[in-house]
Amino acid sequence: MNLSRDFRDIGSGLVLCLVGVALLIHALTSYRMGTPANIGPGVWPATLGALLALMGLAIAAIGFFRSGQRVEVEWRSLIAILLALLAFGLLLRPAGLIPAIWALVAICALADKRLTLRAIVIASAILSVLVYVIFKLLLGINLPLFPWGM
Amino acid sequence: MELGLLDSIGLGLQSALSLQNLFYCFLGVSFGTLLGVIPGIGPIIAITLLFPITFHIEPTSALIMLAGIFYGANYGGSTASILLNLPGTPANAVTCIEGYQMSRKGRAGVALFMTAIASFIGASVGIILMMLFSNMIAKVALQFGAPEYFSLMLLGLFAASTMSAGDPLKGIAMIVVGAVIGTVGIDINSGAPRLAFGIYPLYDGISLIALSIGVFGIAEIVASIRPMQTEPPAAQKVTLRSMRPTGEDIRRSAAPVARGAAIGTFLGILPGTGATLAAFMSYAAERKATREPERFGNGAIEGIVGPETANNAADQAGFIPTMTLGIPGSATMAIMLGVLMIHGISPGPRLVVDEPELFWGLVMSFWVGNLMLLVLNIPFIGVWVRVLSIPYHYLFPAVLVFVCVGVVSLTLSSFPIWIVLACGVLGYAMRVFDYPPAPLLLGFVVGPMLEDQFRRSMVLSRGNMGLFIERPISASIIVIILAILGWTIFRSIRNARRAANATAA
Repeated sequence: MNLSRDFRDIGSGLVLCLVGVALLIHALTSYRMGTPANIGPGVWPATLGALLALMGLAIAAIGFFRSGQRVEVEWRSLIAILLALLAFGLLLRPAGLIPAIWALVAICALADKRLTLRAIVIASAILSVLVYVIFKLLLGINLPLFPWGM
Repeated sequence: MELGLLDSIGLGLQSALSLQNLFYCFLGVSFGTLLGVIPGIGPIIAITLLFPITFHIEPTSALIMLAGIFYGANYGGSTASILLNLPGTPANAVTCIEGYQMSRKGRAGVALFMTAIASFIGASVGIILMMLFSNMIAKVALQFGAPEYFSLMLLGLFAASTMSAGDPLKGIAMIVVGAVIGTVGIDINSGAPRLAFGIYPLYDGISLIALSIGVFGIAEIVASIRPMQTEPPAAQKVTLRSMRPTGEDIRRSAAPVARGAAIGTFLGILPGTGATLAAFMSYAAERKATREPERFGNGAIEGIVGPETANNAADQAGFIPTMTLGIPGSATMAIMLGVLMIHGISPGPRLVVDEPELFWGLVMSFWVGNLMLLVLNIPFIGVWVRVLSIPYHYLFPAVLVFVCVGVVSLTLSSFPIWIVLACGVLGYAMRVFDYPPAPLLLGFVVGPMLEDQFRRSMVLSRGNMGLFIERPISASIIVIILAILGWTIFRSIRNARRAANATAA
């Protein structure tokens, strides 16, 4: 569906512009600029920030004069995957690799209803075995599999 | 030490044909095809996903395996295009047009077989070019200084963002964002931490693998879960016998293959243009060249073998600037470069000249790998097709598990997961707002290199920015950049005018 202006581009363009300006200011204030012959760590981030701000502004400006489409977001999928990754990341240290994998797969079910309890169990079991074989046995990665540090 | 061509080949074969390297080549090619067959997973995701496995093996073997994954994934993508009308990579979108039609007429086997042959021929042309010209290019490049490298990299970035499909402004914006992400970490020259905000793991910079898997892989999965909930069309059974092409098929394919090889190698070497453009141009060329235009859209073999030769030639030729100059022309090559650097290998003229065993071992392994693809994967088509029948709701958790475990295995900490998460959000946001991901990766890999070359140029010229125009090679490259810039602006204005006229009419 077409909108009168490309709000997608206006919004994202402005965000990029803001980020660019923020980066420019941060670089100018936090890092040394040095001399032209011996440029300091701040020159490159400042340049990038300025460039980004310019690009963002251009994108937003052009979007202002163009019609655009609605933004469509797969919220359910996005939140489910993010939660799944979060669970894995949080459980890895305290609980070990295998519980983290099971949690990851289980939360994936939030995204896709076809992932029934039976499917979760089967998938988690197969993946646990595969991960064990590939990473522990074949590659010798030293990650604890279980909370009791195997 | 000057190595003649034959000596180089001999040296390379010694390395490529070792039992260990043959094994890893096979592993790379097989896993690459396996992953490439899954819709949505192309060479970039395949390489990033399997990289943790290569991390622990010796550099030459790792390189050979990674290259195998690369063209294996491309081949797998063609298979999915022909059988399911689902392009594995953007370059395969063209293959879908005629390939799927052939499939529906029961000629999937022939299409697959001819694709394999065409791909092999395309790759061979690229490899031959690489063999003939690498030493020469490397010798010339050794005379390049920092200003030349700076201009060349700038050209590559610029060409990549403006010549690919889509809004060039957004392309440039993404290159800049990628470069910004590449700036995170301790600056080598001054020792100052940049954009780390006190978070210690960030001092080492952001992991290429985590970034890439987040922006490409996670974003792809999030976007695909709901659309994939409709049942995938059942793939045909393909028998070995059904693969035999007729004499007419072969006759029709000869010229398209030749044209495709030429188009592909030319576009592959240029920065910014790659397999996708080569495939589309080849298709367009075949449609123009044919005397039977009505065949197109209904399963014309010319429309498959031409583009497939072109995209393989382009992919293989893309290795030339990447390996001989150290300048990647596409996101896939950027990943290749990135993973090579993680392995401690610095592609460029120094590598070609100083480490011929590694370089030529790689080049010869290209032959081996492509031959393996041809010989092994044709009988194994049935196996790969079986993968396509696994429901997506089993596939995506599996991919996520391997992403997480893989990424964690590199540093033995859970910090990369947060990077993957953040980059996943970024990547999905980019999709939603229609920003291209490939330039982001290019900017991330090439950005820091660009800064380094700029700083060296400034030291060389003692602060004189005119240096880039004073040195002849650098100046000519800048002229090319300006020409591309001018053409892009012209093209945008012309498109905007057309759009305005269309809506006014």
